[in-house]
Amino acid sequence: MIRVEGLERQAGTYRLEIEKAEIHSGLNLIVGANGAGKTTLIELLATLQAPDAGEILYSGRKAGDHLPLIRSQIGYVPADIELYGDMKVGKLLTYMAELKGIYNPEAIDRLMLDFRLEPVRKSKVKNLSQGVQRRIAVVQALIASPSFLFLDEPLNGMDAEERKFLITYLTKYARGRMVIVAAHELNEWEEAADTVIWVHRGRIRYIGSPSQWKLNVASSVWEGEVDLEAFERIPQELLIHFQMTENNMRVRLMGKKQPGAEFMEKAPTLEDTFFLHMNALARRG
Amino acid sequence: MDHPFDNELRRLEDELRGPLRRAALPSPSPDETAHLIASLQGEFNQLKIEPESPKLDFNPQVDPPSLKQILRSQIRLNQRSILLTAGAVFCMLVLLIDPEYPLDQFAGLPGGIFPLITPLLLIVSMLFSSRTWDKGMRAVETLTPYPPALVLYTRLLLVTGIVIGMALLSTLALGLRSIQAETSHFLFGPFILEWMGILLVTGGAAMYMLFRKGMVVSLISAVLVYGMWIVIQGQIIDHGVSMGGKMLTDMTLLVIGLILLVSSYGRSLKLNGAWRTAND
Repeated sequence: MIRVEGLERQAGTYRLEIEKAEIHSGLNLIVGANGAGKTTLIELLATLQAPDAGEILYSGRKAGDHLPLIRSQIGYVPADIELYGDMKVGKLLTYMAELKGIYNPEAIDRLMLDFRLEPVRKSKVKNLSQGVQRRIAVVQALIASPSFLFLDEPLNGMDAEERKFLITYLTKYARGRMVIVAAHELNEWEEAADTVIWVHRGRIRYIGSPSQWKLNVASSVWEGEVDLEAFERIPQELLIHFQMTENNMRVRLMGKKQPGAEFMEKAPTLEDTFFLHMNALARRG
Repeated sequence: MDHPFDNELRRLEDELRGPLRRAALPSPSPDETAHLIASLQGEFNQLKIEPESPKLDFNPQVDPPSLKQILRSQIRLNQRSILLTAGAVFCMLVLLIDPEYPLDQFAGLPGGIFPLITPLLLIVSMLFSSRTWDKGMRAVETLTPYPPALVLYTRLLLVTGIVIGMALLSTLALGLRSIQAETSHFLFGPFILEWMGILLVTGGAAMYMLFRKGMVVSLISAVLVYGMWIVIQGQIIDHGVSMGGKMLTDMTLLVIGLILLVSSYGRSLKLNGAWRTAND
């Protein structure tokens, strides 16, 4: 468990402030708009930034007092990483393992098999696709089988199959361990997330189960097909998603009442819920 | 009208009333319930205390690396670009320098071109090897189960070693060229002393500051030391200091550089040792 107490950190134009929070094992999904403080929070939890005030405790250990011990149990995948392009995949992972104090080639071999990197073991990193480079970035974080795994936008640059594989892998990995993912594409994590951590303007607005988060919304989600004229009349701020069909527009929108006979109420997804909460906040000013 | 079964059931109840009364326990009185709750209060309080999660232990898969192991892992990194750049620069220097007057001023700047370029190459190589432009990779390499400054330290050591090695080879090549020249003023001792002094003091200052103030201050210190050396060289020329005096200055720089290097090495061992003890 990670316990955060009186955490404060100035990050650019906003200040991250968390009075008290507890994060438990399982797959924790950090959601929030751009600039809300997701990356700052993940970097603080991964001990890459020191807080201006407050404490972070990892299973009862203070980061300030036990940094090497805590770091031996941390894996981190940044949103953007430029791996050493001139190195071969196998060599790069061996280097990363040694840097972490892992001298067991079997650990690397197993992960390379799991992440289907074996065929590119002898290829130079710079010659590989973005998706494969992203997989390498994830593997380097998993080498020491850390108890705390932090991933900032891990699905960036991955194709559909790679995304599905990674989500499934992380879901299994999170059993008995803590995985914290900061993500924009929320629906992909719908089935995987055990906990949602909603960050808004540097504060945690919600931390708990995704189902409870969905129940907390005041509006409903409606889906229906309308003609282009009717589509033009829909206020932009209510639109969640729209897609052109043959002659009409398939629309997903939020609202307290049924917008029209052609609309049916739908169970909100994580992304819908995020929109609903943000909309409610905007209306409250 | 009574059903025959009802009569039979009633008779059975009457017959069993006596034995059942003896077997059944009387329901507890409110006083007895209160007494029971009071006696169990201690157990309830125990349940209320939040179970403490087990304390985090050092990752059993992690084997504490020695400084030598960190250095070896840094050699795995592709140092080819530094080797190629340094090689090209020193080849150019060997060809550019007049073998008859290798310590002559260069482009109005005090000191020969060789001691002027060598520390500059070291600073650029340090900057390159620290990969300051890539935040992601820097972050990943920081998350080590030992002080991350040790990684940068071994990297600086490696870069300094490469530059010193290349400079020594170039000095040898320059010496060979000067032997072939008709009249040569090339003196191995003062020449090596001049570039080695400023090189060691620049690298030493960077490594010394690395453990105390971090990489950015470390690089700034190296640049400042280099700048101060240019000023000192200017003073030496302006005041017409003798060869002996100049050699003494270079020797002082060399000794300071060595002290800084040894001190930073000691610091690195201490850091690594403290970490090992803390996690034993």
